[in-house]
Amino acid sequence: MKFVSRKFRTQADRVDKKVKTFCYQCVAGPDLLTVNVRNGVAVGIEPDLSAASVHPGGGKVCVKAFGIVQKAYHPNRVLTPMKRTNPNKGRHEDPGFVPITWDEAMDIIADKLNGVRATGLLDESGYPRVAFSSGGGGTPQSYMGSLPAFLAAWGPVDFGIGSGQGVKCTHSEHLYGELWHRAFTVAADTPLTLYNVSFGANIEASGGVCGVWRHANARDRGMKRVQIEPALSITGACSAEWVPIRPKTDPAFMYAMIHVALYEHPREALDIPFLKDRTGSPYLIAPDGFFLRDKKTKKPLLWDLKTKKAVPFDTPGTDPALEGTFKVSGLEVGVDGAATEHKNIECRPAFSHLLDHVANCTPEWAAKICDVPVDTIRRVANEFVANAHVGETIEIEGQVLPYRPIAVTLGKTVNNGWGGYECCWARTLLATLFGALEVPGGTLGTTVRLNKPLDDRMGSLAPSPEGFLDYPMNPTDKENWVSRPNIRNAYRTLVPLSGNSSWSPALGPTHLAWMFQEEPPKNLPKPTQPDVWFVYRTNPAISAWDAPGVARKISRFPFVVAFAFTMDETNHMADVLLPDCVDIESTQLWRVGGTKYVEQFWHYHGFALRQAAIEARGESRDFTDIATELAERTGLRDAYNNRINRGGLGVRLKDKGGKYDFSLEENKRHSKEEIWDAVCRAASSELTGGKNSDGLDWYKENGLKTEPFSQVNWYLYPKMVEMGLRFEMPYQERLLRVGKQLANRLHEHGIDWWEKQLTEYQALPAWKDFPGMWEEDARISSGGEDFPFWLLTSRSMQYAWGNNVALQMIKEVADNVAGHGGIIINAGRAAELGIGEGDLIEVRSSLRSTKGMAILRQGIRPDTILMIGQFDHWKTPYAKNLHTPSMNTVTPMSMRLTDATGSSSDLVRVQVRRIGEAA
Amino acid sequence: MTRYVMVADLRRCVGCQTCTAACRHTNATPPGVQWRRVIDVEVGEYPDVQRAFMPVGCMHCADPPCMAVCPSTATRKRDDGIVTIDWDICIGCAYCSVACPYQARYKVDKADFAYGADAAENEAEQYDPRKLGVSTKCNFCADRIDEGCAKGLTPGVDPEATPACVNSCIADALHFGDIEDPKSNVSKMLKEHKNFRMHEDLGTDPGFYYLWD
Amino acid sequence: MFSIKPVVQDYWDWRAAGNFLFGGTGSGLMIVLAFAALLGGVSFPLPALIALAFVGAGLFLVWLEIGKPWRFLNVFRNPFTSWMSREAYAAAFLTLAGLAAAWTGSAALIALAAALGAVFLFCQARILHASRGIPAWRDSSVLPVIFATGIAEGTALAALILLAEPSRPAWLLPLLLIALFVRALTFFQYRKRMSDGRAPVAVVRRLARISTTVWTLAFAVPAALVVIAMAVPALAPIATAIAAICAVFGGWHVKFNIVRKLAHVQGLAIERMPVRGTPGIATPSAHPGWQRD
Repeated sequence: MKFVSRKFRTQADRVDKKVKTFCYQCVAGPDLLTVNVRNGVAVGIEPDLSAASVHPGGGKVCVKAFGIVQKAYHPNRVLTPMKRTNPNKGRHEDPGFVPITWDEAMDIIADKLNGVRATGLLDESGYPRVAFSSGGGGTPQSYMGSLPAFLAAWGPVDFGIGSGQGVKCTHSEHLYGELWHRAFTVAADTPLTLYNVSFGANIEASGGVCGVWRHANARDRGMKRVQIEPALSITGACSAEWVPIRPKTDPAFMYAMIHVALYEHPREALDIPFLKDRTGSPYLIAPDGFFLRDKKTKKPLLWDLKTKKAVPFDTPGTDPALEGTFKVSGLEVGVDGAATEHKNIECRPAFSHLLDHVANCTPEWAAKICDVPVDTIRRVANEFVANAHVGETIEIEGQVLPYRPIAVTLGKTVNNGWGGYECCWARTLLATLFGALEVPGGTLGTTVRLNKPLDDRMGSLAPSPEGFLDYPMNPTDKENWVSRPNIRNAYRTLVPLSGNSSWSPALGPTHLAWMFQEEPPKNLPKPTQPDVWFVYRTNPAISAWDAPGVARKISRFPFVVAFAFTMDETNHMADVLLPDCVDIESTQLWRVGGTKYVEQFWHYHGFALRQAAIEARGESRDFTDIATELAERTGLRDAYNNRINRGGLGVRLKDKGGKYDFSLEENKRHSKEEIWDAVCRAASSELTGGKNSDGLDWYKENGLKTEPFSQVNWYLYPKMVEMGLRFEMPYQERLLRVGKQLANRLHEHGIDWWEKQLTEYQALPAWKDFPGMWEEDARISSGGEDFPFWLLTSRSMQYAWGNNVALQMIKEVADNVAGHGGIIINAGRAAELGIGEGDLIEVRSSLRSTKGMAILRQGIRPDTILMIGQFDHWKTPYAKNLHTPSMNTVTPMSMRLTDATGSSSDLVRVQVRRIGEAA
Repeated sequence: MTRYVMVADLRRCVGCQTCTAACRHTNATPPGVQWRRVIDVEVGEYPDVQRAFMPVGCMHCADPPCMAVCPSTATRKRDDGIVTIDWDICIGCAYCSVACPYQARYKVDKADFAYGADAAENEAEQYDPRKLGVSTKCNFCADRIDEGCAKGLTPGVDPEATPACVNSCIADALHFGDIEDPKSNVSKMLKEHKNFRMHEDLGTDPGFYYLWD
Repeated sequence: MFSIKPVVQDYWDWRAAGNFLFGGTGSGLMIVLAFAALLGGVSFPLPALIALAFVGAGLFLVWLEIGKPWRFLNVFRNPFTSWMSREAYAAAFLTLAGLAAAWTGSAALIALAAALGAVFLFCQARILHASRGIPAWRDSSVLPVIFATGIAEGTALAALILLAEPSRPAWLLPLLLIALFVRALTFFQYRKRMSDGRAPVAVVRRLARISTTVWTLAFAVPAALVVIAMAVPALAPIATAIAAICAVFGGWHVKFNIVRKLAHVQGLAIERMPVRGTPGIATPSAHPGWQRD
């Protein structure tokens, strides 16, 4: 290569154009950026500071975005379609990929797909013959152009073959969060919070630009955050205080906080009006644990202190009793519609039951479980109470709202698997007790994925018969229970809470789709392999728990189509590789603003364009062109265009009210420019009520179009008041019923392997020995061996969700952050074991072992070790030479460790031993 | 008089390395050459441990030891306090590197690229052989400042006249400005917050301030 | 190279160290030679060329190390503040004077060469001293070490070269003894200063480890041999020769350690841990790799 000497020194004066686009590589985005281009080559990334006034993170992008340039020009990028020539699949088989033309690749895929259409879209077990998996917490959707329209046009597709979600996401929060306050993810109202108790929420590493920006501002103004976690994370570092806690004991700490609030402070410390009017606290509980209801209306009853009688919960002008025992009559509706009429029985409100429930959960009790000094627990609880500001209000955009600047936030491993329910319940309850749920300063939800409509959280609010937020539970009644799963992970059958939105398949027990491959479940249809499996922006052979086991199962899939950036461990088993354009080569309009995941709370909402800053390299193709071609070749053109017209790309092209219509002709093939121009015009029109219809060219120039979004919309509370709704706290009558009904259905069908999961359905969840479950699982699986360490993982801002382990620059800068590339172990404990800095150590679970370099730190519990990120690559270029271990190699998939929501925790018991000296 | 300084608010910094990456892009430095980086420091013993992140790089000292030792006069200090290196004069003796107490200087003798000997398109586009065999370091994006000032912009306030690392910082932890101007952003911050400079006892009079309270 | 904790610098490798090793020996030799010529009438042209060869070898090694060797003339641009520029000037003039002295046999010129040798040696010491990034160099106690060992090496080499020279001055061996003693004193003073918190822990440890070797190789053995050579004339040639070699290698050992093994960078420090969210809490400082950790 010939180089030309240049006279300049920095980039400022040597850029031909700056192209506005966005980065949505992680769930905490999207964030806005510009690509600096010279001579048609992308040479750098900069934040889009022209959007600073609109974007809640100052118009910045995080370190990951800077990897995009290296991604585009990666020397090992797959740049032509390829086909496999070795029919044998497996880690140690050479796939023998050979380059082919797009035409040939599409012929091969269309043949398969047309074959499937001819045979039937469902297989003999009733499962879709076509499956599609992607990763990155759903972010790949913002890169896959019009493919969603093709998949929708196709018909049934199995979206539930997991990439690692469940253990890798805040799974309990997703499900329970949406149930209680339309909170697919939960955040503190960071700009106003004064006291944040964070149980391992690693916001400074995984909260994206907005999370980092908002928390930095909060620290600056004096917000105190107490970080409670076994290893001192980036977030722990940036907190006022780090409290090391024994893994999986977080619920006990929170229960003790609830105890302190209820037993060590006067009742007035709580937000009594909130509890009475906005929660189910006053609902009377009948003897079998279900609400006592009005005989006629079947509405739950509460005791009115004014009239001294039990009245339906929505009776105006009542003063509901929270505590006491009352003689009442009513109807108790239990399981499967069974109703019992009670006359003059003694009933107590849900709040009284709560008091009993936490009576013994003292800080002294929790201290022993959590291995945290009792004074610390009590002090944190008291500080939480002291900062609640009960009774105070704040004006937000002219509206007076309660001001409760306290919040509890939860990290990933706290928030999934066993104990996840208890954590989510306790966290939500802690907010509820002080009226700090969905109000300024308090604990907030962000967006909805299980409730509909997906792009309008406020619009998803609807009342349940009990006066709570309605919820789209999968049916558990006899008539409607889905006894034959529609996809391989059986989410509709096993997990009522997972709902049935377009996101639900990916939020079910996705690992079961893998587990069942080798361990067929009794009395469910035979597990099958999909005839055609599409994979995009995911690498389950690395990112799933028991990753090597998943790799083995993938190798048996008959036909795999992988959209490939480089070779990797999953597409090593593929039959066809398709090179799609990377981030800065392709075009897509995306909805931004409002309230999105994690900490994306905007004062604006609108649309941003991801656009091609450079020509597509090699033969790589824009995803929209790929999807259109697939639709053409499978005879689905009309249906595909129809799906686009109906909002398949995020915007309806024709307004229901008739204000605009940019529909595509359905029987015509459209170019990607035509498609996205129509989407852009519809988006502009939707945003401006039909006043403006700027198209693709406008977005290419300006990047972003927004309109103001009221901050009041960050909070559910005003809308709840307006609709007369209550938060379903503290008592979970609905879950109790659903659990018992599910048990009946499963037992009726002879399914006895989901028994442990059924125990999670408790109206008031009790503390269980959660750490013991992992200890027991390791013991049983190993035949009685002792595994003295907890192995945990932690997200890395440099890597998380980025599909960027092959990038040299990312590795280089990540190495500045302690712990990357090795295994963090407590320095004192390491010394006891004769392990020195940089020594090679073996980490072994009941499943298998991995090894890596010891990194000695003080900020970790002596019984815990930590592996940052997900590595152990054996195929991905560059990454395979890093010799960085991953807990996914040693974490077993275990039914025992699967909770009722179908998730487990990123947690495993291990042994540690030194096997070599530092290099 | 003008003296440009950097202010890092350690209370805000999260060690994300976005500034490191932004610098790598803007200055097209080869692998491993990080004119700006953030270090990760741990203090204390379990369970009383604290951890902090600290952006480092050239401190643009008022009394730069690197300049005094430079035999070729390649290293100079501008009137606005920015310490620069003239790559056309530097002989690459690395004397400045041993004189700098901040490990801010780099010398790369052979062309080196992210994935070995061959440059990717983006690397080839930015390749500048003048940087080989000579000393390089952060120059506070001096040409951005000059161009910005020529347009009447204020360094540290207007992004076009501000170092790339500052523009990129997602925690708003990095700030840049004229310490001699009592009304500048940095002067105000230093007045309002407790701060220190690294290795002040070595008499370098560094132009990089760290806010800690 | 980058490390928060002090680690050995890798900006200057063995080639740069070679300049200090050979340059010190050569310039020391030139100084002693002038005295021998002026006071004892020793014939100096060949030894002077040997001295220049040592200095030249050192500079050649440096030339091999610099990134832009064909720009080497730029080294002369900053005699105002840079000891490296000054060393270059000293070396240039030393070479001219030395060659002229060897060519002409002029006593005045050898005296001038010796003076320039002393300047050169002083510049070398100051080069290290001006390196504020290396704690083991920047302390003033490094100056006498470099100077004393240069003289000791020069004296030893002179004793070796002039072994067969009948006009060899009688004071050469006593001078060597004194030079060895002074060098040992400077080294142990240097070590003491480093141990007083002026250097990172690793430097102090390394100094402790090499002290015995330095004591033995750079002082005890050669000194004893010099005493033997003085006391037992029959053994004088062999004892002097071994003593001289020991003395030179002892000096090189000290200098190689200083330039390559004790040359830990300053490392980075954080004066105050930042306060996050709750103001007013005094927090500890951190200077990894230093004693006040």
